[in-house]
Order: sequence, then C-alpha cells, then structure tokens
Amino acid sequence: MAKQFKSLHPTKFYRDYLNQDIRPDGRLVSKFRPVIINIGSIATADGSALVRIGKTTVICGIKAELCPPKPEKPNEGFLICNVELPPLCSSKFRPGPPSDLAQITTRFVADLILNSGCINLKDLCIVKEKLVWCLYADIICLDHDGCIIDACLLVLLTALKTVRLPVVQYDAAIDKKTIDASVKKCLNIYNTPVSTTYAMFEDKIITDPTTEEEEISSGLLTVVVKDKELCSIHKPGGSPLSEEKLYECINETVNHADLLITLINTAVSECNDDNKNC
Amino acid sequence: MAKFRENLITNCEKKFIIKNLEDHTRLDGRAFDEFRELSIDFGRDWGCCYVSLGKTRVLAQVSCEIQRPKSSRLSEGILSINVELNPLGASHFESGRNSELQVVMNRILEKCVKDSRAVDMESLCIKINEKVWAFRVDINILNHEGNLLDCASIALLAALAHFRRPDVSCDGEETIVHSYAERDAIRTVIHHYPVCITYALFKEGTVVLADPTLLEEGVADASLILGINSYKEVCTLHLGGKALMDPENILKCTSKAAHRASLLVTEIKTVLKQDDERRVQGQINSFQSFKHAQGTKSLDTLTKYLDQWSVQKRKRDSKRKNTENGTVQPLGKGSAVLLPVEDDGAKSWKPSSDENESDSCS
Amino acid sequence: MEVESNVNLSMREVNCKLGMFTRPDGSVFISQGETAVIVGIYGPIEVKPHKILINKASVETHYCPKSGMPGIADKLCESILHNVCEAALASALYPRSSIVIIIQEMQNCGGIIPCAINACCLALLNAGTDMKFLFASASCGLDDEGNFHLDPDDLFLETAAASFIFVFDSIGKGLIASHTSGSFNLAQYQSALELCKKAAEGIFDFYKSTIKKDLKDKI
Repeated sequence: MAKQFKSLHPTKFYRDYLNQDIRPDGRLVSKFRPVIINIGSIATADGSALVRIGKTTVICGIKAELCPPKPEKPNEGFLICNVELPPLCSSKFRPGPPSDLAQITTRFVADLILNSGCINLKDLCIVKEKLVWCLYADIICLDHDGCIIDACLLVLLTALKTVRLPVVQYDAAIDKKTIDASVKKCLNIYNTPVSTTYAMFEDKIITDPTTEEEEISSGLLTVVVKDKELCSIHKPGGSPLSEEKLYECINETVNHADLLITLINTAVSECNDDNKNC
Repeated sequence: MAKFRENLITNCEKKFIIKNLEDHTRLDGRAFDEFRELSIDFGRDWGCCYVSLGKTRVLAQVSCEIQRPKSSRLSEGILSINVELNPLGASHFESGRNSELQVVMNRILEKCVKDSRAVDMESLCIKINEKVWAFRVDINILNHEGNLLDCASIALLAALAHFRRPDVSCDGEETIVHSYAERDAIRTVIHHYPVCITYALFKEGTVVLADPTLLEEGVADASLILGINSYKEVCTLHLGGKALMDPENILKCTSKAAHRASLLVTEIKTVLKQDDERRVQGQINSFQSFKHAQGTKSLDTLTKYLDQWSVQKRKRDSKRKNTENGTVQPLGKGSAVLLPVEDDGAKSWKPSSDENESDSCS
Repeated sequence: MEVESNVNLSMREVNCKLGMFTRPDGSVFISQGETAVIVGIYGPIEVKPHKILINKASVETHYCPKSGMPGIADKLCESILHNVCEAALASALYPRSSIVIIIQEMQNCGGIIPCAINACCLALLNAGTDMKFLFASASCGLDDEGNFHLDPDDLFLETAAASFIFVFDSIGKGLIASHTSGSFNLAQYQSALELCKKAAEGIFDFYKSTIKKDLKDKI
C-alpha cells in the first residue's frame, strides 16, 4: 500500500512524513547519515581514499607524475581533478561523454580546493621552470544516493592527506632525474574544507538528503566550511530561502564540520603508525 | 532531427512570393538587385565584430594561440574558420556538429578565404617547423533572417582585419609572448578581401534576386554564391539547388556582384579606420549600435537605497536546530566511521486528519 | 549601527535594449560597464521527445561563449541560470512543451553571471512568459582589507579575497541562488548579502522603467 501511494503521489507521501518531522527512512529531518572513511584501498596509486555517506559511495585515487611547468607559472605544480559519474552509480546516467552533473561537480570541487588554499601548488615544485609534480585526482562515484558534492570533497581531501611523494633529485646540467623511492614525503595540507548539503522542500529544510529527496526537493544548498571560516555557499537556484533559515544551516554545518575533521584525522592516523617524515 | 522545430514555409506563402515576382515586386519593396542595409560594429576586444545585414545578425571573434605547424606546410600559420549555428539564430539550430547547413557554410567560407590565400600565412610563422600562430575564427549566427553567408563573410573579414596578435620575441631557445600592455600588437596581413554575395534563383535562372530574405530563400529554386574581391577576381562560385542557369546570366550576375563587392570592401575599410581613430583617441566604445538603447547613466534609484545601507553588527541568532552529536569510532587499519547519536524520546507517530483511508479493492 | 567607510557602492553603468532579434520570442542585449550579454528566449515550443515532461514545461539553457566550445566553467554558469529560471517560471502552465533560454556572451570583463541572470529576467519579460516571480542578481567583491566593492570588474576580481554572487526574488526578497569563491567569515557573508539585496532592489526598479519605456515606444 505504501509503495503504491509513494509512486502515485510522491510529494504527498513526503509531505505527510515531513509534517511529523521525520523522513520515510526513519531519520529525523536534521539528522546526518553515518559516514565511513577508508584509506589506502588502491595500492597502485600514490594516495587513495574511499568514502561512504549513507549509501553514497565515492572512491578517489591520486597518481603523481613529473612534468615541466607552464611557462606563465614556472614554480607551480598541477592538481587536476576529475569527477566521474558512471552509469554504474545510478540509472540516471548513460554511457558516453560526461554528464552535466559530472562537469559541474568537477568544476566546483576543483575550484574549491584551489580557492580554499588547502594545498599550495608551489609545494609541488621541484626545480623552478624545469620540473614539477602533476597530481591527477580521479574521483569515481560507485553509488549515487545524494550529497555527491559532500562525498567528493571529503574523499579528495582524505586522499590528499594520504599522498606520499618520493624525493626527486634533478641534475639540470645533464637533465637527469633520480627518484629515491624509499624516502617518501607527505603533502602539506593547510586547512580542511568540508561541506554539507541541505534540500528545501516547501518550507522545510532537510539535512543530508538522499537521491529521492533531492529529486522532489525544490532547491539544494551546499555549505562549505574550513576551520570555522566559510569557504563557499553554493545555492544554484531553486525556491527562495529566507536568511534565518540560511544562517541556521550554516551554524549546523559549522558544528558538523568538527566531527568530520575528527573522522578524517582518525582514519588517517590509523594508517600512519608506521610512517615517517610527516 | 532536420525538420524538428523548423518553421515550414506554407504553400500559400510560396505562391504569393512567386506571383509577386511575376509583377516585379519583392515583399520588402526592394529592387531585384538591391541589398539590405549593412552595419558593422566592433567590440572592445581585438577581433570582435558584430555585423547586421537587414535583420540578420552575426558575431565573429578571432582568437589565437601558438601551435606546431602542419607537416605539409612547415612555415605557414594555421587559420581555422568555425561557423556556430547558435540556438539563438533560429529555433531549429542546435549546438551540435551534424547540421548540413553548418557544413556547407564552413566549406564555402574556407574556399573563399583560405583557399584564395586572402590572409598571409607566412607572416604567422614564429619558428619554422616548431611554432606558428594558429588563428581561430568563431562565427556565431545570432539571428537568421536570410543570407547568412554574406553576413558571415563580412564579419569574418572585418574580424580578421580588426584583430591584432600579441608581439613575440624569440631569442635562441625561448619564445616570449608579450602581452598587449607591454608591446603594441601586430595587425593581420590581408592581401585581398573576398566577400561572398548570394543570389536566389527562380524560374530556371530567369529571375535573380540579390540578398534574399528568409522567406525568399525558402521558396527559391536554387542559389548562386559568388566569392569576389574588390579587384573583380572571382574566388569562389557555388551553384546549388535545382539550378538550370544560362551561362550568360551567370556572367551578368558576376559583374553586378563585383560592383557590390568593391562597395562592401570600401565600407569595411572605412569602419575599420573609424574604429582605429577612436581607439587612438582613447575612446573604446563597444557595440555602438546598441548605445542608442534605453539605459541609465548610473542607476539613480540605486543610490537612494544604498544611502541607507550600513554594516550592522548582527547578534548571532540564538535559535538553532537540535545540535547534532555524533561519535567517531576507528574501524581498524585505515578506516573510521562517524555515527549519529540516536535520539531517545523520538516523537510518536500521529495520524494526520486529512489522510484518505480509502482501501482500493485488490 | 556602524557605517563602514571605504565601501565602493556604485554599480557600473547599465544599458539595455529589448526585442532586437526577430526570430526568438524574447531577446535582450544588456551591458553592465564593459561586460555585455545577449539573451534570447524561445518558448513555449516543441520539446525533444526524450526531454518531455507531462506536468510542466522542460527548461533548456544554453550558454554560448564567444569563441570555442563551452567548457566546464560555462557549464557551471549554465546550471545556475537553469535552476534560477526553472524556479521562477510558471512551467506548470505549459505541459509537454519546452522553453529554451540561450545566453550569448558578447564581452566578458568580469561579473558575467549576474549580468546574464538579469538579462534572462528581462528577456522572459519581453517574451511574455508567465513567471512566479521576477529575479535580480547582484555581485560584490571583498578585497584583502575587508572592503566591499559592488559589481566588481575583472581587474578587481583577479586580486580579490572573495567574491559573492546573489540572486533575489521580487516578492519576498528571499535568496534564490548564491555562489561564492574565496574565503570569508560569516559576518562578511551577511554584510555582502545585505548589500547585494539593496542593489537588487535598484535592479527591480530598473526592470520597471525599462519595460515602461519599451511599451511607450511601441505605442
């Protein structure tokens, strides 16, 4: 009976639940889903992480390559992010060129990482004008159940924390690189931007929505916070939102950010027991 | 998808136009060999040109970058012309690449400008076999009211003539590209200006209309496209459609087109000169034709609102939602989980009063 | 109440022209300072079979850069415009049809997204499509000393510490869209929001005066 009702009147179905301040899966309206982080899952990559927010699963692998820098920026390395939403993760995506959502998420995550200053591209420089590190970060979604931006940002940050780069000696005279694989250095991460997504449904705000809730919602809001400072408030259209509700959401995110940062640090420290030079 | 969203031309419109041609009249009152009004505008960036021919509007932009030369021409630059049928131009235009009209237009413009060697490609070479300038011209069709090719070719030439590329200095190993602020930019060297002139043919080539509008194009049997420069040299000749035209007629058209071409080229050169003078005087007015638009000198009413604006110290909103508590637990090597704290005393379910309790027979 | 000194509170000069194209149902050219944009609306028209929605109109947005193919930065602009227009249009009035919005960049000297959003609203008014509310967009930039600049151009944005773009609706002045870049704290965000809200009110007045003039010319 409930299934038929849900497919015939999806908005009334959700409205009835939300009037009681609870969601169909039993969560309260302001409750987050459990988050699981796992690092080092891809042994061949220089840094990797896997994040699960509820059912949304995203994996990130970072590979490092050596290359000459751009002539306009001779002492900066590269960090190239790419978010893929393959047909595997949801029936909404078809095989072929990247969908609009994948392109937007890539652009948003890439901009955020660089704008927030969490890594400094100058750290990736080995020899000015000759040799720099280029990090390719591939983020692949394995299961899409809402909050894709949160998951991508979290997984990219965790993976960056686990990157281990070997020390490189470069002899400019004879153009020879010697890579010392035994000694590895971590990247300097200056701050941790983390985010939460909210969905607006009529006049209620739902925290951490699933895909179904995102689809029936009339707008989405993503708040990105780093160390008590705001990094981005991304509300790409949707129904109008009053300022009081907006500031409430920002406060919630600031509180939740601390827990997420503790989570990342716990997971990373679990693996760092036998690591040097960090 | 060719006929998708296209405005079809009805039979009565066709009959009406053909009947009018028999009476030697056109819908907009022009003579058979009269062209519509032309206006050329330049934008602030180098190589940005906006042309309107009657109601047809086209925007062209030239951009450049340094690339390896083609292996067949090691000392020449690269020029690529790209016509974009912007969805703005007509409801059936799509941004994809498969449209037949786009391919035809691209090819004719290439034949007219590239194959006739209008632009000096050798001057675009920086270092033989290694680095050359690659010019890319994007032509966007903004409003399609007939005769796209004429408009596009004028925009193409005006944009190329207007464009200045950055200065480059090569000292042995390194090539330094100087920005526009550092050194004066260099003009493109254009040998001659081949413009395209289109004629629509009716009744087996006996009736020839110059500069057809959208409706006339749709009704025409065939079209004759001539690429001519101001020295009366024919660079391109394209005859398409159900054309059974007498060679005498083609020669007559060509001589008329040559006259028109020299007028067009003079017009382009005049507008370019005016723009140059304005820039020298320091006034860079972009898109002059739009300046006769309604506007505000400054948003006057805005100052009335902003006068009342001031930064206020805000009290932090004390009301918050239930603060979420969670616990972080390690899960073994390299993993950790964040679990939300379960709420005790969750509200019990209260049935809503307007629930329909209708049980369907099943 | 404190008044902050050193705040640049003037917007660039805005010029606009309505209905210049004959094919689109509504079209507008808008220039804010040196940034210029053309927006055209086709709608409601025939919808592509795979995009058909039975209860409302399907909104398509295309952002066309001046040269080259649209990149992922353009896709981000497109998604903001798409979501704003979809929220504002009364699409339930036109089921099984499509409303196409095309934004053509003419000149980009900073602040192209707010310019494009304002142009979209005027173009929808020119086309006569039914809307639930009007929307206006304003942007402001924050420099390193904490001073706000309304409607910054690209020279300022290159060195700005943060930049904010807001879109407000005309009825409740609620926030429809917000896009930020750079780092800032909550107090700065709130001040920027208030500043842009006031600017948006000025833009709603500008819409009114533009439409009045346009109708007067026609009559």
